[in-house]
Amino acid sequence: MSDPAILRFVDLDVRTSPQGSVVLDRVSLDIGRGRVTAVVGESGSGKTTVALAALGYVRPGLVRHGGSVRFGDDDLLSASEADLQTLRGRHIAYVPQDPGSALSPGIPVGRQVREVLEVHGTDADLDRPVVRAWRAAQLPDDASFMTRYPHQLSGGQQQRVAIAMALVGSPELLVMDEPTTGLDVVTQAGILTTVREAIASLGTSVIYVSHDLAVVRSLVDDVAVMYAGQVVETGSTADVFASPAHPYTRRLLAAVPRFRGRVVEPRGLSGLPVAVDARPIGCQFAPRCPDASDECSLATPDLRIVAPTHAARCIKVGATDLGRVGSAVQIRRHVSSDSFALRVSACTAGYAAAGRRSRTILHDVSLDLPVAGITALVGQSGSGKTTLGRCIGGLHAAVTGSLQIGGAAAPWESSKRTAAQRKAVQIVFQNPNSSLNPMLTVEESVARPLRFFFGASRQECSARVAELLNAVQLEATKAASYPAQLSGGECQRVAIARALAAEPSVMICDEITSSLDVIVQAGILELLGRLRDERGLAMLFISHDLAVVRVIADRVAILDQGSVVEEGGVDAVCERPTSDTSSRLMAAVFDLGAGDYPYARGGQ
Amino acid sequence: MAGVALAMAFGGWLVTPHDPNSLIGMPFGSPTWSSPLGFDYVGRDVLSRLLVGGRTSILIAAVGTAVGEAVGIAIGVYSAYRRGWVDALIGRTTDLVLGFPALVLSLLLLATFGTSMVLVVVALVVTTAPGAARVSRAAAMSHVTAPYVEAAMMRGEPTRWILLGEVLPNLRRLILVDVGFRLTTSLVLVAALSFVGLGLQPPASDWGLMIGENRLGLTIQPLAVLAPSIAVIMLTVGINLVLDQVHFAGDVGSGGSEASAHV
Repeated sequence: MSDPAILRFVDLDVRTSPQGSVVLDRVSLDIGRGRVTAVVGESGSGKTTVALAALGYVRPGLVRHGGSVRFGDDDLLSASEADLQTLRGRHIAYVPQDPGSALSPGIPVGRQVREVLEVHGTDADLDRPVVRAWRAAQLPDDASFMTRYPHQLSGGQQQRVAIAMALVGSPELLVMDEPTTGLDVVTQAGILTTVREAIASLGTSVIYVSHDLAVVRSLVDDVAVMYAGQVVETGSTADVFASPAHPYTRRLLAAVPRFRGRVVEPRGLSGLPVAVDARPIGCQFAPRCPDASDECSLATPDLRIVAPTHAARCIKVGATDLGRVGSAVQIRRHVSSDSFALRVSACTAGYAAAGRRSRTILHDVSLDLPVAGITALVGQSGSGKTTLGRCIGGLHAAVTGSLQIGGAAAPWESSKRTAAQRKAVQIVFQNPNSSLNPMLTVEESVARPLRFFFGASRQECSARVAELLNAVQLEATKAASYPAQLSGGECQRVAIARALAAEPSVMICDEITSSLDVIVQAGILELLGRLRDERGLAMLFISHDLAVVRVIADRVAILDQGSVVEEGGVDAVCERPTSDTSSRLMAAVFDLGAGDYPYARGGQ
Repeated sequence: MAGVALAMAFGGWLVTPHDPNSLIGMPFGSPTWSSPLGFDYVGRDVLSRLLVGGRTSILIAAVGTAVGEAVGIAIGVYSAYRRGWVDALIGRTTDLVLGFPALVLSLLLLATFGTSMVLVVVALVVTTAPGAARVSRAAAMSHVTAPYVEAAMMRGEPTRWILLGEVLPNLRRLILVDVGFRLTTSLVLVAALSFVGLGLQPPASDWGLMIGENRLGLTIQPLAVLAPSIAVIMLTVGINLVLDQVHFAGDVGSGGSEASAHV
């Protein structure tokens, strides 16, 4: 009697308007009852639109053009608002990406969880289900915690509250939209464990949206890979990871930094995802596909069966000579040279807030950045890694200790440094959306350091900007764009170009890839490696993700509560960690596994 | 609408049917064919006076607003950037000035120092600047800590470079709207000052002054008051409409594109 699928997307066609661009192109997908299904893809692939459709919701600005989302006998997209309200929360629940903005800031968190049940008019005892959901989300089990407000909780705790809110109505289906993206790896690992345990004990079916294949591997039963509004591959997790059949899936896997086993360079993918309003005829992936041939552009390929539970939208499924991403490149470790571009000794920094107790963020930190080497600074949020970056950049005033730039002592405050010292140290910030001035074009942004440090004329600037954009692998035509017209990865490349414009010897990269998709991240990492090799840059790569650090850095320093607890060559630290912090960070790394993949073997 | 009012104000003197200052009719005389708007309280042609009466007050209002905005923005943005005691001092000072109604403040100024065009401009600057400072400070606040400003500070760029090059471009649209808003306030203020006799002095022709001079005859010759009133209204409402258009156009121009939309 019971349908094996709890939710079916049937030829779902979502567009920007009835005659407009196609956002979801006839998406058909069954969500297995009691199973966890991952929907994976990069930004713009339509995965969030799919997640929201599972709730019977189509974002304003989009219209359903055809197809349905069937939950039992109902089509969610035709259901009335009243029906949807009963369904949502009780039968289908949602965990959003950013709990900080999903929780109401003025209501205690316990009350917010309880409210879900009150809205649904459940009678009698509300305490039991609330406490049960609270425990399932592994939140601290005391009454005072429930009376806290969202801002008093950490990001991970906020996400747990959002999970408790979703679980409290005992839904049959849970939709999770990148629930761990904003969190550091250790917190992310904790949340995923919680999710896994909660759904195992409650038997909930889950749609889990993510851009990171490594993260979902340990959690999900089935995988649907999306590209440009289409499902390009579906299958059980084992099938898809063991023998990815679509070239895009192979590229997604190749972009994940490998932590264990043979460490190979993560590989990016040239080109951009196709824009919603410029979808090509034929296979959507063909323009970026290494194996594309003329027939790929003739018609949209159908999903072809690879194995009983495995299908891919590629006409070359089954062909044997395909699927090589190219040779897996063993990472070249750099022997640290004896010359240091920058040395920090005994750096202690804090915030001397007026009227309040001053807080020390960094204790006696010493760090050397060798020329032509990438030094990673790794720690959880709050460990002081960003503060150290800001100290070196001269943006933090309350610092003691000594600093050497290029072998000569330098003051901490940037305003007291010489022009040469200020040129020498440049920073690239975390958030690609705010690191560029939104009202300046790319050219204006990159030209500012040129004009300031070198007094370049207008013509010199244009020429140099073109060179710099080329160095960060952006087309020269992007010079006239505003940041809002660029993708996150492109913004970060422009920010790197702006830093390079000063001709620095040291570049501080503060979590510059943590908000990017894995494929985009792989491209940026390639770029950083090349800049180190070609320009001899010393880089401080600040991150919370050891897997990324492992593939990019030469040396690593682990920071915990403001102190360096471990330092050394990246392989040594990753293989033989000596501190608890490193072990904890390492345990949190999601990995595709030790084995090579068939597509990664063999040469060109 | 603003166009008609401005054309009238700046081009009007070319087509005046009569000398705006010569007495050619009865005081509060009714409209005639050659004087379709009738005559004012001493018998001058209302149409002619209307056509020349806008120029001076618009110019005064524009200059006063422009200078006031410039001063206000400079103060506001600098205050946001410096923070600390500089910010506090500037903040309290603007509070103090804003505590007085603009009209009262201007009256005080003009009553103390006498009336002249320069002083009217000064009064406008004093009443415009604090508001502009406060608005631009609030808007600049979120930009002065942005990463792109920090990157500029790291490069050691002087304050002036950072404020003009990185912060100000982000306030462009807000400033445009603010200027329009304050320009209309200033226009009304100039008209009001003329009305009470502290602005332009007779026999100069001015819309505010005309309303004041002719108000006694409102029941006999209403056009002498209504015509300049309508002119002032057309101008202020028109300016606001134009600025709204500019504002929305600006929204589209620099708005996000597909690339930034997260699907």
